[in-house]
Amino acid sequence: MKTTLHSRGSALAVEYGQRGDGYTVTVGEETFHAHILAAQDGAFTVQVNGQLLHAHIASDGLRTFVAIDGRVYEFVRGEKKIAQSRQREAGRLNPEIRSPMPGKILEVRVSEGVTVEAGQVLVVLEAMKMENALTAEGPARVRKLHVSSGELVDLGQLLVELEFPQAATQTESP
Amino acid sequence: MFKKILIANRGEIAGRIAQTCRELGIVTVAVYSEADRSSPHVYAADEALCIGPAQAQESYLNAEAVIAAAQRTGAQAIHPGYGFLSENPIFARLVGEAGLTFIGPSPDSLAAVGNKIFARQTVTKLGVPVVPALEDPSREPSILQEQARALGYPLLIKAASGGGGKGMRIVRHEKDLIEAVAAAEREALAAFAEGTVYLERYIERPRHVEVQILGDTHGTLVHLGERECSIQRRYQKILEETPSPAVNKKLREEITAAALTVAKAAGYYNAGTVEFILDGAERFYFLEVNARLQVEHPITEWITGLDLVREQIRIAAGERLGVTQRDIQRRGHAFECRIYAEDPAHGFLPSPGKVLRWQAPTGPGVRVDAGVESHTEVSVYYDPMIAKLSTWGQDREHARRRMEAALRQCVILGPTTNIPFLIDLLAHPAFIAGATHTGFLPEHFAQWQASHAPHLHIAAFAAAFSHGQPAPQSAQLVKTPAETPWQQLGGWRTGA
Repeated sequence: MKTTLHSRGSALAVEYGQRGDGYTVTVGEETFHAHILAAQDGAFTVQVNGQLLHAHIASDGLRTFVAIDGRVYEFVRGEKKIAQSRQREAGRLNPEIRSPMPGKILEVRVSEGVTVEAGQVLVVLEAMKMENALTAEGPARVRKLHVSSGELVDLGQLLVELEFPQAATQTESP
Repeated sequence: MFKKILIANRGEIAGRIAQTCRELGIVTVAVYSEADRSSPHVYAADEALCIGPAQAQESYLNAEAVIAAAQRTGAQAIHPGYGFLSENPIFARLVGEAGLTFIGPSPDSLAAVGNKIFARQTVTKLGVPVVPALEDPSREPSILQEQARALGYPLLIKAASGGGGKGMRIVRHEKDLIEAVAAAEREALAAFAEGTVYLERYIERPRHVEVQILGDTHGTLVHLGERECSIQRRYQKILEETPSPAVNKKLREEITAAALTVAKAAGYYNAGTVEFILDGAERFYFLEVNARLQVEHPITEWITGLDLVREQIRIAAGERLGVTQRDIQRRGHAFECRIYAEDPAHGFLPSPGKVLRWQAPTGPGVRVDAGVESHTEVSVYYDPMIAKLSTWGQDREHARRRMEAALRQCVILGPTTNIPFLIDLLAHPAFIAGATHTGFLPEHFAQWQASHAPHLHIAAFAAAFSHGQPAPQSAQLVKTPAETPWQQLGGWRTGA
């Protein structure tokens, strides 16, 4: 069994096969032997190098969440597009300011055509009873505004389009 | 005693109140908004009624709808929980006029302590110290700047009504003053329908210490010791403990006496909390009275053995407290962690969405007050606090270790939570040393990122393995070595 998972923008090749009474698992560069003691109903108990680990697993169809010892690991299966957009999130300046949650635009602090500095507040969004300032990741020009103050917005809705100077986007790989 | 109580709240506190009512043999009525139709608090009650649309203003904050629901269901009393209508004197009065009992202090006490400016003035007359403040800031920017300069920076902007950090801002430089006042007013208006703010001198590195009080309608008033709630982010408490590591016996006597003085002057009965800030020189200043059950009440219940909701209901029914100050014994140490659906690695952005899996920790000295269950939704309309974890130990370190272990056991899949952040917080040397103050998080955890991912590879294997299985998974899928005792663990902890 061979698959590629993506976690926080980086790809992890996972390969496993049954061997003896357990599994030989290779994740990235690391190979280990694992005994699975229980795997049902979202609970997963595995023994690796003598250590027992209890994982809880759930998936929403797109993302798979695995909790071990108070930490939650999030994986996306092989889908290239998601991986690429994650990579962009992780490494590059994002020209599209989208709403991180449903809420209400309290204030639009910029207008089309103006230049903004890194960290400058573009819009103020009220959601879950708190004010959240959405900022520019780097120096940019405001290309287009898609919302006005008082407007209700949905998760992921495009709010502001920015244009970064050439140097900042040049590094984008195909 | 009441036969039926309406619970005018949602989330964990609604479930917690229903639990005590069940013990007392009281029938409960839940109210819910359209967004909460399938929320756990609805099923925690015996009856349930929809009171309006998702927006709190039109449902949980709609006094008429709540009272109408109580009348329709024949409830005799209303427990407001915390937040929403709990400290609204108009609501409390309307409840009384409708022939129902408000489970809380009298409308007059609520009005007296609810307006913070008025409360400050009253308390000053009683000889209880308060922080220097500007109670009537000018609307004129230039005059306001002058007034603020006279008060001295840094200063704190606060909403005259309400709490929970909404409408609060620290201002360190004059250039930020006008904008901060405007933002605070907006936030206050949105949260409390009342935008009045005032300015206060900001005390650096203070501790937040509060005293729990309990009084009946026959004149008995006792305190249940203090709680320290210094670990806050944007004035929202994240972790609380009792007793405070900074309060010694003498200071406890002084601060609890001050709290009782304030409560007595307000003619206060039922449960309430008098909040103080404590500076580095053991000087305390009155902050405000929270005229309701506090979010962090479980830690007081841990160390006193009292059920505060039970006491609230008994007091509202006119019963006597039945204890004197001497009967109140405090034992051990307790912590509470608030679990929020928010992402601590990304500016604590709220992380609403479906809870795919929830499993509460268990064990000696561990308590969970949860507002979620598997397959329920963390709504965008309400507070992102989804559960409270509290632990008790014989001493602070015992309780702290129990909390660490409980957090590691707690499973919430779907929304991102602050659990990894809380685990790191509990392990911080300054926290272990009890060197807490309200600026602790900005000072030590300003740019927090999850430190390391120790089990990433095993998690990846678990994810890949689960992908490789047809859904729904069945018990037969896994080939384990036959006849090992571990096999008995099949389905480990599910349904626990």
